[in-house]
Amino acid sequence: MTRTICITFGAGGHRAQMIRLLKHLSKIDPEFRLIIMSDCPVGAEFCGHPVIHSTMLGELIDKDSWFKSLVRLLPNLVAQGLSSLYILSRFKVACYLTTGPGIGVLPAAIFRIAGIKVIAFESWSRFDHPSRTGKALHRIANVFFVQHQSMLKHYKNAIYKGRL
Amino acid sequence: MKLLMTTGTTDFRSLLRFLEGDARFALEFDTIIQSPGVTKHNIPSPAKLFEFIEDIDRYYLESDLIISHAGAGTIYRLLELKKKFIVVPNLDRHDKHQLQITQFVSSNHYALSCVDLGDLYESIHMALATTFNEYIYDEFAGAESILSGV
Repeated sequence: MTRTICITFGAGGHRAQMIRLLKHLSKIDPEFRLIIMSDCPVGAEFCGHPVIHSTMLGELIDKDSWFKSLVRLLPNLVAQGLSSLYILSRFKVACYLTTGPGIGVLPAAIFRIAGIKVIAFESWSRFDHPSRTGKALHRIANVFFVQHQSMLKHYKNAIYKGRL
Repeated sequence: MKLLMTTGTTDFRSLLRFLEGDARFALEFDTIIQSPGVTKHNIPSPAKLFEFIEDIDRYYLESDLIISHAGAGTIYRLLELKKKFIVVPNLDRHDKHQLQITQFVSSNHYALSCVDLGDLYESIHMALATTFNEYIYDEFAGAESILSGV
């Protein structure tokens, strides 16, 4: 049966990491379908896999303005929550993957509560200091990967299996 | 000498304003600058300006030296391609985590870092004259564990 994988990524580095992750997964299962929650637009296909549903979410943190981040926070969280619940009600999701954007945290929690396997990554640009998102996802995810061995000391149950 | 400057998908206005005021980068090298918003700045010709480059790997491979913002995706790609580059952390951003990867690159002598734009021109000549350490890529091997049981 074709797996449906729900993924969350943000623009820039998070997207680049997700693309690399999907390439690795494609070597094992070339047929999976995607549900995408992202703050950047996606088409009908992503990394060679059909996108059966996508939701465009607002960027949780504005990297240039804390004020804008604060104003956007509540509406964005509501949108993330509703999107996650809709996906769970409509699709049989095999697992949920996130490469570390802030928009991935609340959906990760919702999917975990719903019994879906949640896999999360600390950002590949973190060597010494955990990200806020990483700290949250580490508590939520079934499997939490760090991408540098130096980060293992910050996360009790994290796994290091190399870098995306 | 083919010089490529890239800031990925991020706005790096202080770098672009700096380049407006120093014509040496455009005049002394065969320079390509890729950065969102670059065409709105008065960068001296004959530098070629691109807001975005689809097939940027080709430009990386053709360049003798790359000056890059400290975006991890770009940095790792350059390390994997074994290209010579200078990393310039984008301190315009209010999150400063570009400094972490800058420190990683610099302390392991994989590339040159330049935090002060005033040193950028001299950094080019320094980078060209330097042999850097080879980066060994420990590629992710956890895909099976992700899909097992689902």
